[in-house]
Amino acid sequence: MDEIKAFAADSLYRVCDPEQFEFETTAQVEPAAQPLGQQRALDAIEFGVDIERQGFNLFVIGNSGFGKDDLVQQVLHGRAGLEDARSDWCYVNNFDLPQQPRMLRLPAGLGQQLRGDMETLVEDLLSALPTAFESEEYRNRRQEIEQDLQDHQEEAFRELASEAEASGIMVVRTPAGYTLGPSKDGHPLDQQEYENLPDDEKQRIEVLVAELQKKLQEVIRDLPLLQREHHQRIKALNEEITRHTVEQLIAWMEDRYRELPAVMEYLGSVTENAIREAEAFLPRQGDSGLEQVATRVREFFQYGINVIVDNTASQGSPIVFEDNPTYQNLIGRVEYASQMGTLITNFTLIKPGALHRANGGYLVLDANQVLRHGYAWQGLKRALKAREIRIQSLEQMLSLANTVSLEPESIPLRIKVILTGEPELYFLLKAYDPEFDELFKVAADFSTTTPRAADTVAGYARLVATLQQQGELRPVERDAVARLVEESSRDAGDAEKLSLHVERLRDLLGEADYWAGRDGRDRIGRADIEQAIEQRDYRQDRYRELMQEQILRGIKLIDTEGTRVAQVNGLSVLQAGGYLFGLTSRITATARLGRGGVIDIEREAKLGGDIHSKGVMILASFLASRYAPDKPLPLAASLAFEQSYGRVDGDSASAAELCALLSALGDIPLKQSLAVTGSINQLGEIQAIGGVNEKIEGFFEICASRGLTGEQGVIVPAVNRLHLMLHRDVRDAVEAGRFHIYPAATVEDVMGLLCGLEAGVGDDDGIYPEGSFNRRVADRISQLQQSQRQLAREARDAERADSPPEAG
Amino acid sequence: MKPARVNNARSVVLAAGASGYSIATILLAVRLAASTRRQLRGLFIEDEDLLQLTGLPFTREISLTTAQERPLEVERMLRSMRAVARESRRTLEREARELERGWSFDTVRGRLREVGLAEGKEAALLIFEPQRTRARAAPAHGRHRILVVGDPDRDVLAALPAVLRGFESVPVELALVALDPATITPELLLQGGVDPGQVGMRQIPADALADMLPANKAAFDCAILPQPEDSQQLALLLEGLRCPLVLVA
Repeated sequence: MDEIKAFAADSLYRVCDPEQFEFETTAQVEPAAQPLGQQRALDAIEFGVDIERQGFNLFVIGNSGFGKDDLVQQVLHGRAGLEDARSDWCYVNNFDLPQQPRMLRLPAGLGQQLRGDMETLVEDLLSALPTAFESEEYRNRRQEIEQDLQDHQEEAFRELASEAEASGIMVVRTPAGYTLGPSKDGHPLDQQEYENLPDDEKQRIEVLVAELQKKLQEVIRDLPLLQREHHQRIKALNEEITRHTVEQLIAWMEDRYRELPAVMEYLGSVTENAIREAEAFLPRQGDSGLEQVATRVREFFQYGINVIVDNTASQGSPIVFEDNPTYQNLIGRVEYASQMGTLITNFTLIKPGALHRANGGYLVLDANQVLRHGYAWQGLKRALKAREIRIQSLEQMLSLANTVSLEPESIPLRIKVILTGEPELYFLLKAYDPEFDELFKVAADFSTTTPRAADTVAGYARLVATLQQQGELRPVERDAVARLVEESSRDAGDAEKLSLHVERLRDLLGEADYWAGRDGRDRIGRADIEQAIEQRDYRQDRYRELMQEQILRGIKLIDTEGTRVAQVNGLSVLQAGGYLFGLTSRITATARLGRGGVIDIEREAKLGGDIHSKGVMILASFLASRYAPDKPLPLAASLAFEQSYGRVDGDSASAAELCALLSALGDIPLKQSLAVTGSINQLGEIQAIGGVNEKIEGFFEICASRGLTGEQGVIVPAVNRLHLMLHRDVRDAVEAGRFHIYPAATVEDVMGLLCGLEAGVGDDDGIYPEGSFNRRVADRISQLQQSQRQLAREARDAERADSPPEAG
Repeated sequence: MKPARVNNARSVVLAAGASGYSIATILLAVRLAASTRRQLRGLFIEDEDLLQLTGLPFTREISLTTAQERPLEVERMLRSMRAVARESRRTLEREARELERGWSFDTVRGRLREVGLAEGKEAALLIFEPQRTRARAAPAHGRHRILVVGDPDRDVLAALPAVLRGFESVPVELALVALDPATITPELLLQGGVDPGQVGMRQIPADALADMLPANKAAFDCAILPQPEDSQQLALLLEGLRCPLVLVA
């Protein structure tokens, strides 16, 4: 067997040479104009922002902390300044249908102006209309009409009274009307006087009274007509006076807004309404002068302008970041006010949503937040599809409320929506929402890492400088920058990559700045970075310490010396919050005659994940194809993570599990001073795993705590050498020959290291050489097969003995 | 509250005929009584002429509201007049109590002008409710008009503040006959609760009054005049104006 050489200490960590930097501190470095490693995302965002076609909204894909929002903001600010599609959006009363307020779009800044102008108009009407109605001209003309009515009424009665008087009949008022009767010398005849009259005279009087009564009835019947005519004349006079006054007052506004047809139309409806409602502008009892104008202006809300979007002070296209994208915060809402215990509303209570504020520009939303809030996603899609904002309450939309509400006129929508979200969310939406593709045609995918090369390292230094300068931190020395580059690779879990997690870098710099300041330094040095990392880990380290302590106290059984059959130290990675650490677990196997194949105890106990089960199935398949290619494998084996009470997933322990099983089958003692990580395929090759650094460090710490013997080490997939960025104490131990990290490419490599036996190559008959571990495994399987055959024979014999003799 | 025993002398007398009082006229009378610190006497006059006519066999009452006719009977007419009188009394009592004025109410039979003048002869103020053919039209927007006819022997202006208070702060125009506008002092107007700046004045020559009235029957909301000597003169005024008359003794 070729001896497998452990990795040299210098291959366990890729150092960044500070000499490559041409600066002393980051204060001398220009901030980066563009984000590091995000060219693809940047191109996509620029494309998505520039293209003006329906549905070309953006979905920016990336995990949090990679600078999505900053980059989006940077691009948008760069673009928005070049355009100017700003408008003010207002709602005004619909005088014909108040429950359907009308929308006005005005050039930016004119919304407030129009509102002010309308307030002035109301003030003017409140003072000018009473003045007009108090004018001599109006009073005289009204007096004429009043007098006319009076004259007509009087005239009708007078004519009747004169006719009656001439005929000796008088008209007398009763409590409810009038009566007529004969008179003499201005006094009515009494009954006796009447009785004394000649019969023909009495008859004449009776006929005359009857005729006059009929005329009186006609006169009275005509009175309502006279009144009606009078009212109409008064109304016409009032309208004439009001129209003249209102048109005079509104004329300057018409001059001012002549270029805006919508406003002109609105002013026309205001004029007609003010004429109809002229009475409302007249003083009420108790009102006087300026005081009444000041206090009464508020009553005339119907002439108000509800400026829902005011772009007076803004420049360029609006950019809105809505961090609470509820349905109402996106689409807008209609509020209610309580009045005498009743909820009422009107157009002044319409409140805008983010879509209104961003109309003509850009709206940036967190996709996760949008989806969390009920109906926000549906509302957003509906607005984008219809290209209009229609304010409709959820209660209305779901037909849950029958209260009277408003149906404001829809507002045309021209907007670019930029959703940001994690990749999983993007792919879920792609898969399950058929409208998503139609509305978000541009994806900007943020990278999490970038290759570690000379130019990217220089770019990383610029990123450090940018964050340092933005955060007004102490300048960072180049040694410290080099340490940050190394930490970035460690963060990426790959010596040949740099992590692009900007937020984590920003935090680290902030913490290093703190430590530098605490120690009275005016620069951030390498030691400050080291301390920041150390302290950060220390703060999150309690859980890892507890786990290690259990091992060191012998509560959790892990051997780090000697040999054991069917027992291997496996390695896994745990995540507590955002903190990753390696954990050593004892993996054991049992093997006996049977037909159960390989039982994954974790799976049976419902603690194993699918990927772990897949790993176990692969190793079972490997076992059968390697050692029983042409016969059944009469095996009942089981595998377990001892003292594991949580969920186990991933296939990085499959190599260790296979070794435990082979050991159990071949009764082969395995070194406990070594731990194994790596996944295995059906051909017995060892494949890459994740978290290699944490896993190695986890086992190293146990060994170091118990005392390094020089025998201890970790077997890792050979390909994982690319990912090694190990702590200094591990590197130092390797350098001193007290700890080893072995690369393994096949299961033979791993078994060779663990048991010290040759793997052995089968001859033409498939017989492995004596003393090889393959031979020991194969022999055991052969024994199991023989035992199985023997048992089968015995069973058949027993069956025959129990059977009744055949009739001869 | 029981009616007080009101001495007719120097009291405020409110006289009305078959159609009773309007609430506005009662309020005016009560205010006048309060401002002049006099007692108030309501006088409902059962129209003798009407009762006489009612006794005739063929007379009918024509309703002013519906123009329908119905036969007249003395008993029913009396009940009807007394119902109007009772309602007038109740209203007068309520308003007088409000302003804590002593009051009385009498129903007498006779002819309105003659009885009214005779009963109000010694009263400080005699108020006549006009006979209404129909409800008066509302005054022209925002301005009330008061006709004030001066008399060298009588203090007609004493009644003005109480009349003004009825219009509160609404702008008022005073039509002055035989009166110097200078006699309308700001103090007088302020007593009436009216901002002097809100009061307009115009003078009408005394000899033009008679000619002016027919064309201005509906022009005034109230008239303050010296009490006429006889019922003929009063008849002219009642014919010529459609507003409450405040006659100053």
